[in-house]
Amino acid sequence: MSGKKYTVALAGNPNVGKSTIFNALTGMNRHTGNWTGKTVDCGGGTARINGEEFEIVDLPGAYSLNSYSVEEKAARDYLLNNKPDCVIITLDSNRLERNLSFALEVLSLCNRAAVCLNLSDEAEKNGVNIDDKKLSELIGVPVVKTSAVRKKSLDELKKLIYKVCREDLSADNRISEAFDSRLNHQLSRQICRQCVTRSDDNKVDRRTGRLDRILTSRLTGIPIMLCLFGLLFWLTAVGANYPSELLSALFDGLKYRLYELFEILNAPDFLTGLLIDGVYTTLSWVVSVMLPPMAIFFPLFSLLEDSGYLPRIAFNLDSVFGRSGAHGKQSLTMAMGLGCNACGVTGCRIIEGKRDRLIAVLTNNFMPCNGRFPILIALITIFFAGGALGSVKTALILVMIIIICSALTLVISKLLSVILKKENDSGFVLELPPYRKPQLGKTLVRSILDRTVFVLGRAVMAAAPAGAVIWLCANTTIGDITVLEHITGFFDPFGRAIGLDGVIVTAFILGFPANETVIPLIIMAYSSNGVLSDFTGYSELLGILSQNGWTGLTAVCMMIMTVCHFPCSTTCLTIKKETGSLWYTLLSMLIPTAVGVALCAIVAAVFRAI
Amino acid sequence: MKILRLSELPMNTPAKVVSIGCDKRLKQRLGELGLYEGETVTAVLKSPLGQPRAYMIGGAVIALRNSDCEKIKAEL
Repeated sequence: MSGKKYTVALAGNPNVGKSTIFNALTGMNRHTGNWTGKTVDCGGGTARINGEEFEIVDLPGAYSLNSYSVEEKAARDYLLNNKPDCVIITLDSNRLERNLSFALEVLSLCNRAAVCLNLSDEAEKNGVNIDDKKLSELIGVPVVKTSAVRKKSLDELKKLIYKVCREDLSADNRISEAFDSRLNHQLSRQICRQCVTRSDDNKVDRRTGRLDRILTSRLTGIPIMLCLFGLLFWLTAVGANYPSELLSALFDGLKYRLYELFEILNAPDFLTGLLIDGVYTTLSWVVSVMLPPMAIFFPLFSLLEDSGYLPRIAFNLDSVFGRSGAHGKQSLTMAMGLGCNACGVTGCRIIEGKRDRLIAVLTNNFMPCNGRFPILIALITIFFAGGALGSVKTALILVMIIIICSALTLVISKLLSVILKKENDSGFVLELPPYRKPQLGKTLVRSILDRTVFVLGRAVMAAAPAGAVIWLCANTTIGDITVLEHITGFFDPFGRAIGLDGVIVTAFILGFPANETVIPLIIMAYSSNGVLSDFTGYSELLGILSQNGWTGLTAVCMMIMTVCHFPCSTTCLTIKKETGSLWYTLLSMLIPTAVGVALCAIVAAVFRAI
Repeated sequence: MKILRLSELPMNTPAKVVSIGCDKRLKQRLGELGLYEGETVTAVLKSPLGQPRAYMIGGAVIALRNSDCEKIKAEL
């Protein structure tokens, strides 16, 4: 039988390793990356079983199909409207009773299904023994035990998918009865009594308990969290240095080859300037400055995520967020924002309450993303953290900046929570899953492929046209000065008043498509020849900046503006999509910009007074 | 026999839930996690800042704010 492509949906509670199964089934053949540590959209990919192609859909993790939250509604709608050929209900073998309630609920909607008892190795270590044959008899669908570490179990799952899809089941014979979650719970308890045996040995839970007593304790919980972030930044800052220089040297070499090529082709000067000095140079800056820190930060962050540590951050900090009228899970969306604000904004879907979610969306931009980190790192390194142990100082200052950013986020959240109407409270409910050893290799490959390439690709898309526009502005003259000089001249009085100058203000405005282009813009505007000078190191950058009147004050104000200005175009589009409101999108641009200008004005005034 | 608010339960002592008086949505959500009248809960963790606390419910560790579990009563 050919022609028909079967559709297989993966459903399950959050934190049951559904995405691991999805990854194992689809390998590299997937259309969407999973960003937020939790699938919020339906992810898609293809798997090949017995030579046939199967479309695999990863549904968002849900505790039920009651459509109270965005994820649950998405999962329910998918199952009802798309009628997949097979639903793989993924369950956590450790928490079968609760998970089984969900399975029964799914089974009331569709009968072409199989149950996958995931994390079965962990359950065995925990002394949980499940009779899968008995379970299959009781619930009437095939059951297979799987675990991420046992490859054989995956083959069994594939066989099962094949079988269920090919079976000629008569159309839905299940009637969706009025669903009583309490009865359902009792039923799943009865089933569990018949097929689960437990011994007292619960290694995994005990290990998690021991770790939690350290990682969430009054004494050590918050210091360890700060140290982890410090280490993360230090590794990113130090590790990025060398590959960054190497890349920029490489691009530089290539640039001269390109010049030669253009000469041979007899290209007009205008074209050479636009393409090489404009597009290529900006592109190579963005890649060489951004790629190394991202390629280090994202995998490390994924490791933290996969280990199960992130929900503990929300647990540790919720009380602070509660006092600011916000939701503890906002700390997670803030952490995602460190990677990329657009992703942080999308991630806000994990927050159930509408108002809490809006607060998290509107304030996410106060967390400097990976596009802005290089600016901060460069400024810190050349102005404040020279000499021996420079990288340690840089990391410490970065941690300090993140703390200040978090404080700002909380203050703004508090203000917003006072202004925005209080809605029906859905409460703060946060599951703390057991700690799991992350799969090192897979995590690294995946976060580089999914995240790094994704963000870099987007930056590159923005940088190429930006490079062309900048070059044109810098090389087109109206009267006797260039367009760029007209613009920077226009903004100069305003810039000076808040401790910056016209060039910096212009760079932030022209950098709207991607913050990564802000520093190249500044350098291009300062160099009189209208060509982005080859950047070989921080010392040269310091030279250019101080020649143009930069002081410590300029650097501080520049860092403030880096953190506090309108989000990049991609983030703005994401906010528009997530909130569905132009007004909120404008507000999300206005708030940080106003805060940034006010802070810079105050800092500049204070600095000049003393 | 002592009936306490969930937020007042001593740490690491199992208790039986006797009533859940939260609003409908929260009650629903707690039900999905296996928190019904008659179930056993144990407070297992306390945030460094005093709250929220985390409870062992149906084999999973779930963090709840004190303000949310004020209306849940349990019997020691």
